[in-house]
Amino acid sequence: MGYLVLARKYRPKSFQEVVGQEHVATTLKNAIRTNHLAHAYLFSGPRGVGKTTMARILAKSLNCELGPTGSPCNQCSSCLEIAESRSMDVYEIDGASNRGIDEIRNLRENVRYVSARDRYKIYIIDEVHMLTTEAFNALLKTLEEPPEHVLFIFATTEPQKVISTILSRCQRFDFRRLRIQEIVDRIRFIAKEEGIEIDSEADRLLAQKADGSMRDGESMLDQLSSFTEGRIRVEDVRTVLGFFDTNLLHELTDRVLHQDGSSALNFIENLTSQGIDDREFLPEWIEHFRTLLHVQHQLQTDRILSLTEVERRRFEEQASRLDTGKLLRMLQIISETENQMKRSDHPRILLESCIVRLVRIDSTVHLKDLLERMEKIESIGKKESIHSEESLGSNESIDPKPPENPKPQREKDLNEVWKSLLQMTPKNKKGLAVCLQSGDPTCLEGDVLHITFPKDKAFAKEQVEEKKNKTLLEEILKGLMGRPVRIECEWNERPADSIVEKAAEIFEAELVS
Amino acid sequence: MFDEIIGQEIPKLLLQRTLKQNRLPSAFLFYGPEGVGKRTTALIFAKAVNCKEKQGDACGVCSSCKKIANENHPDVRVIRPEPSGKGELIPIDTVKAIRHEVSLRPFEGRKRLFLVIHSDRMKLEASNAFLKTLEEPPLDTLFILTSTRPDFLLPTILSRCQKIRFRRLTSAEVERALVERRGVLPNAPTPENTRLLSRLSWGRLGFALNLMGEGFFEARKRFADFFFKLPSTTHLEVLDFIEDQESPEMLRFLFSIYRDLLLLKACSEPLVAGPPQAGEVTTRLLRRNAPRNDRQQEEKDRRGEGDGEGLVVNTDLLPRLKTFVETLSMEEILSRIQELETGWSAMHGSVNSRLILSTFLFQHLKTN
Repeated sequence: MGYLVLARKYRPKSFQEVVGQEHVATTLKNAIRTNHLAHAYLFSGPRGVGKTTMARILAKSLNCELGPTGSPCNQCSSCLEIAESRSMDVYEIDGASNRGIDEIRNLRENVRYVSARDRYKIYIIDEVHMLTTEAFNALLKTLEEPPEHVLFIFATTEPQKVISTILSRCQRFDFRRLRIQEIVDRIRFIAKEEGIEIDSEADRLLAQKADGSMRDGESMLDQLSSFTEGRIRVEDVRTVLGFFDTNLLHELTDRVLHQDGSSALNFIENLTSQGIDDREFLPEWIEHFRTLLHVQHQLQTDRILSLTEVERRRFEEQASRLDTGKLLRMLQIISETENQMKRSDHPRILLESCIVRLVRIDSTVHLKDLLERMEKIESIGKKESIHSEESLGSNESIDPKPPENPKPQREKDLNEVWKSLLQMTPKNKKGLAVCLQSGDPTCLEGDVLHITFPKDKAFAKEQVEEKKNKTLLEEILKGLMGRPVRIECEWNERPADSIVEKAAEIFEAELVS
Repeated sequence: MFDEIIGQEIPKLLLQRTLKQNRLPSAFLFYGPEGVGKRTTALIFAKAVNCKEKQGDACGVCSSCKKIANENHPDVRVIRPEPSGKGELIPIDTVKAIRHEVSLRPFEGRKRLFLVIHSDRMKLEASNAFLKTLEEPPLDTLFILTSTRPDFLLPTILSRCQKIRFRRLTSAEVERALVERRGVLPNAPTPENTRLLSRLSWGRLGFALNLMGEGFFEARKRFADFFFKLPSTTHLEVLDFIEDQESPEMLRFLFSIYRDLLLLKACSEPLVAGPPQAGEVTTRLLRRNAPRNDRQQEEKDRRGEGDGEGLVVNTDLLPRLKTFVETLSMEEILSRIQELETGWSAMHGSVNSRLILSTFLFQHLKTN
């Protein structure tokens, strides 16, 4: 009375039938033909792409009464027994339930005995990544030099959890994710065999949702065929598999881009009152933004190519209203929220906060922009530090002894002199120019040019003060000014105050300490 | 029996048709928010599968249905997470026990069923040990896994199940269900309160039913009164007040308050939030002239949605909310929501909920 699900009913029985893993199938077939079999194989790859299936086919090929052969007969007692997993010589072990060292010791004991009837004694260990380290280690010796008649096949979705000493003893095959087209073809084939009608758009949508896994695709077909009781239409796929109406995503994105918070929030309210779950929404929206990103950069990805002309134009229109920086920032906000939502008991409020933050994205500043602004300010500050120092000096009217020299050189001159000095520093003295740059010319008093250095630039100060360098600079200055000028180096006592002030002014901030 | 399930048309249809066609898979995963009927549906389905009287539905009165309802049917096992050192989990031993039981034939029913409630609470070892059993059990076995967080299940588990999505109920559906059940309860809430509760529940009927008639409304009112007076209270008064409060419930209430504040604020803010950027001005101008948006605006006005009042959950507090929202900036609201969220998740990590509540409330005091 039991019903056999399609994924089990249509489990491939020969190498040819396994979809999308030709690289594995061919290698294995050749190995059988030329009798170059390894004694341990590791099959790795995502869920539902054919690892266990391939392992069983390999077992059949080796133990088939007509074999070893690349195409097992599927009729002899050995093949049938393996298919029903009751063969005496093929042990299919669940690595996750038998993960301890005791189970492996037990296995090691049994390995020594010859096979009961068939050519090989084959151990298929599924989910092998769940074995404990001790269990793995206990297996090492056996795995390296097993008896002639023994073959191990490991299957796992997480090869990175298998210890390297095991990996190096196995021939490893990586199974790949299946392409949409491969799943579509298989789904069509099964549907035809089962007498299920399926629309061509529907099978594509289904294959998309299967996300590279054949089993997922087959079980969805199962579900859909019992739901529709006949022909499977696109609408059915959308309803049953919980597809999002892409129009909704476009609509919401539009509203957010128009910075219309009220309408975006009302839109969400409407969606959820129709029963759309808050948690399901953001992953879809992230995908939407990813598509936008791809469109913006004109990538020819699978995702873009599968869009219809109308859809693509809609995405292009939306992408044109965003620069990449903003797009990425929005994407970041959404994915942060999505991440938080997974654990949260209040997904709705997070979703709404997310919308509000997106709508207000222009009024918030990104860290990168902030840094850029800071840099700009710093460079302004450097230029204007002379100005502020000078004005500070002249404002000191309380000072009973005003400066004797009325500062003939105005800051503009000083600035120009400084610039020329930097430029005229000989090319072969690059180091000197750099050192000079880290100083600041404060003022030109009579025949003395004062240069101040910050406290942390002791080396630069030393270099400039070094006799040879100093003479050189003074000579250049003499050429510039038409009179001998001395250079006087000092420590800067007020570290970059002007920059802080400037920053405070721009950010309308107060200096706290 | 199936008609007792509120909402969830698609899952119901799917399950009934699967039964009718006798195309039962080896495993279902029912996923969706909490309290929307996953477990209820699973139990009804289990009854329908094994019912002695009806085909394709459950009668609810035969011995099989009754045993399932009482959870003592020998072939229908309900597995729940068990308390352990690291919170509630489904241990690997349970999974191993299932594997053993699966190898036995059903005692009296047609099918042997395993209902795994909160299946995402399986630890890694347990999940992996489950895989082989889940994929190829004997044909008279059926697993129904339920989960509110399917993301936490292994992809290999997900791939072995037929996934059925349970949706959030609408507040109208919750209200209807509450009204139906109102007669049974001793101190039934008023119609207004029923409506309020259905909105507060976010479509989780189970949640609403839990709160119904538990003095919830009085407690909520007391807390609301206190909350809006907060600026003029002192630290001591706050501590005094929360001494005899159900703090998790109150935190939940704060979430709904701040959610309402957020919406009121967002909808009252002028459309253009920041300085226009190059390229955007034109789109905005275009937009102003677009007839579609005019229509939208009209529609909005008609529905009275412009100011976000239609979105508020705590409708009875609306006037006070509107006054309160004036005192807050959007940044404050957003950051307080984040604080609530952090506090709430810290509560799971066994931080004292009263502490979280008091710290949060202190921020509202003027004396700060």
